Amino acid sequence: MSETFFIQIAGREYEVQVSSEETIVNGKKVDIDLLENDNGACVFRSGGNLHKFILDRSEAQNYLLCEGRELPITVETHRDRLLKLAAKASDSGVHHAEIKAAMPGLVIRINSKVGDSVKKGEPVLILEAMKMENEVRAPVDGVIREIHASLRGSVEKGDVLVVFD
Amino acid sequence: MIQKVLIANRGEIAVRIARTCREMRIRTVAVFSDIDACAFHVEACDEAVALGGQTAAESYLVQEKILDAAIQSGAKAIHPGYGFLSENADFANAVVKAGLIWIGPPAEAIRVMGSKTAARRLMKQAQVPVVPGSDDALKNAEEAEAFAKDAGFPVLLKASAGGGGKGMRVVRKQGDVRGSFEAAQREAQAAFGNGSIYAEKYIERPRHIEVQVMADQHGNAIHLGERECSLQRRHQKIIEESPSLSVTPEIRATLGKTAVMAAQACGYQNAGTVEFLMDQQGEFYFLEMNTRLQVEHPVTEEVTGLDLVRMQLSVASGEPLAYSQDEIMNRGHAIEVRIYAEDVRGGFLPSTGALTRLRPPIGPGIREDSGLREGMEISRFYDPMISKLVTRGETREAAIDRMLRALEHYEISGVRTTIPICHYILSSKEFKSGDFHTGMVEAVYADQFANLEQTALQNEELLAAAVAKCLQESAAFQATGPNGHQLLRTSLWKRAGRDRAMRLPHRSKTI
Repeated sequence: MSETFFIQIAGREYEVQVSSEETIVNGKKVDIDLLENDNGACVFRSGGNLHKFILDRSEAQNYLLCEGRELPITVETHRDRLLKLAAKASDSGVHHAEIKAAMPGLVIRINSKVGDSVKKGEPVLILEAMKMENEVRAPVDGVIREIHASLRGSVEKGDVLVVFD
Repeated sequence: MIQKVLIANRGEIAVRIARTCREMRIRTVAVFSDIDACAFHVEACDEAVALGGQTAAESYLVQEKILDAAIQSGAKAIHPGYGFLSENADFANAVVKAGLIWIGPPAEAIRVMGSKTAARRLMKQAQVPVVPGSDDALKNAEEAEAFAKDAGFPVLLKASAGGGGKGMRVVRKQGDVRGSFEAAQREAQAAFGNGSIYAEKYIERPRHIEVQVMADQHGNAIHLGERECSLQRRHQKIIEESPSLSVTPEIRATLGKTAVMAAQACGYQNAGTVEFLMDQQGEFYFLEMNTRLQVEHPVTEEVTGLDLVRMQLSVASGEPLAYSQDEIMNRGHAIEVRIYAEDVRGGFLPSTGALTRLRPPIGPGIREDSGLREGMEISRFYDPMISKLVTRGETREAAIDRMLRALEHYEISGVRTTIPICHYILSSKEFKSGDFHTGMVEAVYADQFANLEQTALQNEELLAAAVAKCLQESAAFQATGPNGHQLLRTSLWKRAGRDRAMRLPHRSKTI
């Protein structure tokens, strides 16, 4: 029985079909033999060559670490993809850009208020973490729809701080 | 020699000091906050005393607690490491008053060098060149604006009590002076409990060159060569090396002599670092003196073959320096890369979490100083440095090659790290040719690095396939549960087939 995976490495998509007999990438059969998988640290053989990589799945965003590089990676099974397409079809189609806290910290300044229009790259608020002030900038040009941060309030990593229209 | 030392620090530096003490058969006492009860530095010592508290301000920075711990444990000396109380003159004084040995310079030297304005005045007197700047702390934003108008932009605002880039701002136009001044003040107040700020002319594209000095209690002082620390982000160093490509033997001689002069001018003892800014013409200016052991001291240890902590302990015990200046022979090249838990994509923001994997590289010429082990947590309470990776080589090229290999073999997961950007920097032609300056990481590398994601990995297709295969196997494991483990074991037949596929070509060569 074969299973299909859609693997995106920094946005580049590869469709992989895996069965116990063979592995097919983008319609092409490849010779791959997984020699070791120690908690995401893998060694595999292809032809006479050995390759190593680490698949870091400890955060919401997964990363592929290889040869001193680190790339964001997303994995979807065939089923994930169907669910996503179904969800998209039923969605109103409205998506809002947002700013999430990249780390836990303390909000020490808020430069904008709801309704303000900001340019991409403009500092929206200042987050203090590890004794450093970090400017948090707008990811897009847009109007601020919601602010979920209060002055001197502490935030956790991943908290949504600002939502844009 | 001192019999028992309390190490008033945590993390890699506490571990590093404990190691040398152990080699010298000196007993060590660790101190720890509630968060650090199971930390690596506690295990590295012979005894441990709880300080309580979570943040540094509740634990490692409380002078009374540290002194009590020393007295209670019967330690005869305190090694402050770097950061925390290491450059606190009052604490150095209190240690001596309590009848203990302070493994560091005299309180008076710390005080003078710790105040940037007093240090500038003293250096000017001692004929050590300094950068043009305001001689006293600025009273308010108006004074900052006036200085900037006088000296011309760009101007650098710095915390008088500062270090490590905290409370520091580069200002390029008049309209930004006030905002930057206030931000610097706030940061300085929060970090050092002292919000005083001074200004100086900002030197464009400077190199950061520092000289390691060591002085004993008998008036002897020597230097151990320079370190180049030009690659920084947010004014904090990430890559250091020795020797510097931009320092000629002539500059080195003057630089070393000047550093020793600076140390002697403040009655220095023990290990210290004199930092200089060098402009594009090779002129250097005194920046500041760090009156402690530096984070990057291993670089000097690797090229001199000396153990600076060992030297610190002997000097603090009252012994004269074992070497004269002529006996110091620097050899080969060493590079240090600081591995921080930071997300480069998010503008070098700290990345916190558990280190689900931490396997440092090993092999000839590689040294790793770390205060963490696999499974441990990078907490938001302390510095996000995971480790310092140092490689040595007979030439700069060899040291770079070795570092690239070491970074490729460093296995970390659970947090984002500075490994990828350091790997990128070390493989760049700018780094190889030595054509860089202190603003380079943000100005050049950060952008190029962001674009690097557009370039596929070598064999990316194969990697994608292997990832899918690996996930399918783990999914099968989860589906079958622990009792189904056997199902995943590779059959012996399959293994034999792999072995044959891998080994035959080699065998036929050797026969």
